[in-house]
Amino acid sequence: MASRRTDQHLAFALSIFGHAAIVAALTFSIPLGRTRPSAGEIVVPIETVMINEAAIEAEIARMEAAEEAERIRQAEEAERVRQQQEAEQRELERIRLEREAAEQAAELERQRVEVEAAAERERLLILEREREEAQRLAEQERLERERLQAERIAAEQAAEEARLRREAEERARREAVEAEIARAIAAEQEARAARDAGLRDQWARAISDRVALYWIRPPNVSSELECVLIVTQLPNGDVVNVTVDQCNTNDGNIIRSIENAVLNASPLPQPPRGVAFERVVRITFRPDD
Amino acid sequence: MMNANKLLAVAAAAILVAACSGSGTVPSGGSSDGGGVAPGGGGAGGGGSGAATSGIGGGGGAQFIGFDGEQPGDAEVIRNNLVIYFEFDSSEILSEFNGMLATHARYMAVSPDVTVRLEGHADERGSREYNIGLGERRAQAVRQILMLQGVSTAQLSTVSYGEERPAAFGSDEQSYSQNRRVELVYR
Amino acid sequence: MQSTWLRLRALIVVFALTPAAPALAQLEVTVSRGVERPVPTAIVPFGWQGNADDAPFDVAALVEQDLGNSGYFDPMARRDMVSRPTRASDLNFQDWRIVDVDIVLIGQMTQDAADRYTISFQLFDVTRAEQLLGFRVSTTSAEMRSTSHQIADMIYEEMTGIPGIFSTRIAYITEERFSPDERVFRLIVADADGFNARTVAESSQPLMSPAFSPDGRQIAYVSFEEQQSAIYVQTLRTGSRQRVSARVGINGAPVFSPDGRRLALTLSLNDGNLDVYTLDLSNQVLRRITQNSAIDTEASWSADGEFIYFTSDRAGSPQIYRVEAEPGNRAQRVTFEGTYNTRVRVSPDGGTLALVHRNQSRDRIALLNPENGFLNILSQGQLDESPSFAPNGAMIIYATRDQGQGVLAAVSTDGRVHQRIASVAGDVREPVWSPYARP
Repeated sequence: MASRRTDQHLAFALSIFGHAAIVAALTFSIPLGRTRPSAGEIVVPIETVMINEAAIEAEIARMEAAEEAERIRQAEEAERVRQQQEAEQRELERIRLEREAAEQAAELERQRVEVEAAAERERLLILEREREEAQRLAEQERLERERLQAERIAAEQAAEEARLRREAEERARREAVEAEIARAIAAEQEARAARDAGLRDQWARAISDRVALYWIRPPNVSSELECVLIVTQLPNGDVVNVTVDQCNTNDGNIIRSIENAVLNASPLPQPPRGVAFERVVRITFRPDD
Repeated sequence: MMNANKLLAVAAAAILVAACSGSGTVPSGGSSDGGGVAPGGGGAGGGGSGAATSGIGGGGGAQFIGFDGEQPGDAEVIRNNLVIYFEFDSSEILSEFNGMLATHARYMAVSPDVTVRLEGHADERGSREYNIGLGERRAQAVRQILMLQGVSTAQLSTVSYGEERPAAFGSDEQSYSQNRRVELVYR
Repeated sequence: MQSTWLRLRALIVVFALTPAAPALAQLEVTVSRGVERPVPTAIVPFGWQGNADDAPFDVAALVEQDLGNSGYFDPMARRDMVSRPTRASDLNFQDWRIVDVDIVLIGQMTQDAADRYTISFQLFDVTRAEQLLGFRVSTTSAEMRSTSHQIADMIYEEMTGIPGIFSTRIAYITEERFSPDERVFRLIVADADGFNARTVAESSQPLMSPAFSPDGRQIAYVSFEEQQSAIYVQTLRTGSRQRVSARVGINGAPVFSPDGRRLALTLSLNDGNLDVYTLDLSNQVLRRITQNSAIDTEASWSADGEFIYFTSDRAGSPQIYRVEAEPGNRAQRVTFEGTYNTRVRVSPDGGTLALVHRNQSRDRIALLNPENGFLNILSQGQLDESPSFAPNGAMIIYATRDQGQGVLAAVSTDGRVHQRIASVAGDVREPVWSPYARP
């Protein structure tokens, strides 16, 4: 162990020295490099470095002095390392004795703790048994409670189902009745609509026949003629207003002829009994030839 | 029209047969058939002889100069047979007129100075201008027959009056049959 | 209790639905036919203010006659009129409504000078109590007829949407026979109602086939006055004429082209075969349109002048054909119904053909729709001939027979109205209707 530590110290020293050497080399080589311009490179002359003999010699002396100082420093270092190793040796012996004493005390302590632990374990076991018994009793009680609860719920569900069933039956019955009524209404409605439509058609035909009787067709009416008149009538059939809604001719005499047909046909036939009166009648003139 | 031409050919053949058999009213004698020696090639040159004087020119009463005929009966035949009648809507010359036409042809052939105007007519049925066509067709049919028998083109002219100059004025078949005709008008 | 509620609800439903049942809203009526009866019309005698007791001419009477003859108006007899207003202020529409009159014409004539009169008139729609026409016109006693015809034309157009034809003229041929060989043929031009007949050509030889020029100023016809047929074009106003075709053979059936520059005509030339030609009236250029050994004649121009319709018996019996109005085209047959169709005329609108159709050995005037081949027989005679359209296409004039004499008749193209047209003495034939009168 001691030898390893010495090695470490040595390595450290060597390392320091090596690094110092590298630093020194870099320190001196860089300025030299700078003075050597590369070919083609434009050197800007900032400051001319003047070199003379005296300076060089001073430098050499300075370097020799430095080397002597280094040799002294290394000898002092070796002595210091040796003293340190002896101190360490003494310290290691002291620690070994302390440790042996501690180990003896620990063994005694271990035996005491084991006895205490056994007693504790016995006490815990008893406690555990008591706790388990209490738990068992509680569980029993809970199950009994749950059983009773389930029985109550089942009873309630049965009652609800019965109610729902009854309600569904009632709803179905009511729906059937309502459907029956709706069917009856629809049938009545249909019959009425058919009757109304038939009667309305009859009325429309009656109006058409009467207007046709009064339409003196001008000779320039083409078979493509289609004119729609909006005719307003009073309940007694009197025509009070006739307007042209849309018409595919501009011939004044034709438009006049159809308007006059309606005006001269006034009063228009009344609606059949049971058909609601319509104040506005849309009359389309469309020759079928 | 092809039909009409065929009919003409048939009619012409019928005439020749009739002439040879010597039947009917045609007096026999020296015929001038075939050769058709058109007498006056330079006779009345202009084909456009239509525009004549504006004289009244009565229809039926043609008058003409006597002739020293080789055929003793011809003059009589010609004088009394100046109209050829046709069937309805037809320009076919009925066989009964073959002999009479042969007599006229014979006379004209030997009388190069004589000109005849063939006046075609139709009955009143049908449109007026179409009837002009029918009258013309009839006149042309007669012209063809006469030319086949040697009458010179220059001696013949045609005109159609259609239904404009009826011979009878009734609106019945009897009148109609008298009106469907070609009149030969000697000049 | 519950079923009562249901019943109540059902009732509510029914009531709620009832107003909605006629969901068709307003009533729909379709009128697909009308009546083709004449318009009930009152032509009230015009008022008169002048030196004489009575007006020199009864304008209202002639207007009434024109309108009545057209078949589209039903003029009320004067004796049935409950009032005779001559001014709008005197007109009571109710007077006319109660007798179902639809339109009323009132007017007055005032004398301005010895032979100068002002006629003013107003036409009213009784149903709407509204004026349809109102005019004032100055005239002379000699012009009273034409003025009356013009008033009738205006009323006709106002009510039918079609120009009137009362101011147009007709031309026709008459033959007077004094003895079998003494006849006079005349070409007559008259007003459309037959009045004012004037002889424009006269001959002892047949005259045929008159045809108006499109401007109504000239008339072409065939004359045999030179013992051969020739075609003349005569200017009506001056009476001067030009012989436009006197070629050898037949010169017949002239008709002016719609632009008036050419004449279609029939020639037989040297070979005696009738074909249709066109003759350019400006340079006398003759062009042969048909080339067929059958009879091709009676040309009629299509409304656009592109085609010529004509009669041909190339298929055996006479039928109508159509050919482009330039040489070298093939004709197409147009008529197929019956064995005899001749003398075609094209309607002013080009849509229909009037022709002579033989049916059960009766020659009648028929209208043919060349589009669908539908043939409508319009006349009822035995020997009807020469149909000619009025320029408005509403009437056709033709010749028919009455007791062995040719007379003039007219029929509306819808076949509803038949009328006889007065003509001068003699056997009347070949009527043609003029174009609209030119001022």
